[in-house]
Amino acid sequence: MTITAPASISTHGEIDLSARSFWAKSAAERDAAFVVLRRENPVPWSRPVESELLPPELNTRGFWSLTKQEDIRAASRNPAVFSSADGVIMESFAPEMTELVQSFIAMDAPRHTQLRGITMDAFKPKNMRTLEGWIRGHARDLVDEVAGRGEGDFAVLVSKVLPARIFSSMFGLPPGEMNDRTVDACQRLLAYTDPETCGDKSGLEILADAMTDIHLTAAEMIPERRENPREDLMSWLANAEFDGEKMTDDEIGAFLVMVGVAANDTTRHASAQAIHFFSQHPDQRQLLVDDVPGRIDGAVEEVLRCSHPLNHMRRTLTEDVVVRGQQMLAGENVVLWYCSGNRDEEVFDDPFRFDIERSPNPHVTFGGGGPHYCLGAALARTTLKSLLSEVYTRIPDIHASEPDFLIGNFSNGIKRLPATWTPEKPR
Amino acid sequence: MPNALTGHLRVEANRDRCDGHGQCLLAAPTVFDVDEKANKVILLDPEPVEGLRAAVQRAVSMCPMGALEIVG
Ligand code: HEM
Ligand code: SF4
Repeated sequence: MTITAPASISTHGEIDLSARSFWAKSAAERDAAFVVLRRENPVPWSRPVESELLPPELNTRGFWSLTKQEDIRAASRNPAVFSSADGVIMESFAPEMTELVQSFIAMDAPRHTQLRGITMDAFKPKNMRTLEGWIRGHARDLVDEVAGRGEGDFAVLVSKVLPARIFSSMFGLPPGEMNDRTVDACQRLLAYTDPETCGDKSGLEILADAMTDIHLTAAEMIPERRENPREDLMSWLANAEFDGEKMTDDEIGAFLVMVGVAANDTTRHASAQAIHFFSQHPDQRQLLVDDVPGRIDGAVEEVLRCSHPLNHMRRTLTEDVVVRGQQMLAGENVVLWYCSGNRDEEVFDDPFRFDIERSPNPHVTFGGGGPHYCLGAALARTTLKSLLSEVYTRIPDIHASEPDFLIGNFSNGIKRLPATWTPEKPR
Repeated sequence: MPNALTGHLRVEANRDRCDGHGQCLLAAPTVFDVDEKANKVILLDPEPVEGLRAAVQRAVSMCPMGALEIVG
């Protein structure tokens, strides 16, 4: 399907955030477009996004964009007006689909608060500090497996694997076919925007297949975990009660889809992007390698700022509001562009410089605060810190020159990252 | 300028803004904690040593609610 859009319905001039072709451009070209928007038209309107998930007759809603960090933060902290209940991805799903894949990320209080609460304890930063040794152990084991090879696809061998092992272990997925199927589904669900991943399937088929695989896992595990609860998150989910009622299989399935995707398809892109950035900036790599323990925390924050594994989240207005003089109406969609907030010239000096000593570094990679702030932020930070510490201590000259990027408006991902390094001597 | 004299920073936390997300204690565990019951930040050390400035600055930036500030 080719759509030739007249200039008048683009977002701003030549820039068209709704076009698939915009998201196939290089990161530098997309960044340059957001510079123009922040300067000339920071709250622009766009036509409905070119979508494979909805038939044209249902895909009728355009959207507002927030490109300034201040506006992104204000909207994130005002959920009464900027509601999540109608879905949080720019491409709307059919309502039945939203219910089966988005769980509490696409809910408002009070139900949001209840469901988020079930697993919140497990992800608390305090717990992450206790888990740090365990996560570091996983990172060390994985780097043990690849360090002697001297070459390989970092994205596939390492980036994908570490978050998956941590996720499977926290949720209690037994090693084997079911685990592999579930993790694979979590890793491909959001790739419905990527032509290569889709092959001859439609985006909707990719999404639906992955969703079905994960719901199947939930359905298989729930009866057993109700019978014999263990110390894992599937047991917490299967047995959580609100007003005397357990969640339905569909609700638990949707929970597993959302958290599974959030856990498996974000941190992996950040770690692949990290290797990519350090390959492009050998001076910054040297700075890190010279003092890994002293510089790793700053490096992780700068990797998070520049990689923004999720480009955006969406909200829907519950009432009319005005932002920067722009009147927006109740019922309209508003997209919060984290990729733009992370480069906002009013917040960051020299925003396009990759600088691991940047301070302050108030990025919005995990959202702008408020009730939906990323539940896994502490886990993601700890995972990245562990993995990058291992890599830049043990195979510090790792270099990757040809990243293969995922195409799409939501995930800012890397599919493949062929890399070489001096093999670590057997220990 | 208390820090010039004592070699310490001064940190403030706005508990009304805080949502208990706890990123601060990840960045600077000797300075911040989260009260489990109230789900609010606790300042363990409102005047940390100058050597912790970078870590405290990271905590300030990592706080998604803008609840923390270095005031001196
Ligand atoms: C670098 C890695 C990650 C990034 C960039 C990221 C980003 C985000 C963003 C932008 C949001 C939405 C915030 C908002 O709407 O205000 C979010 C929500 C969420 N994230 Fe993450 N995330 C990451 C890792 C993780 C991990 C490892 C988990 C593990 C469980 C996770 C679980 C969640 C959940 C459950 C939500 C929904 C929270 C809610 O709606 O209450 N994330 N994440
Ligand atoms: S990071 Fe901010 S919101 Fe979270 S506990 Fe600390 S002060 Fe509160």
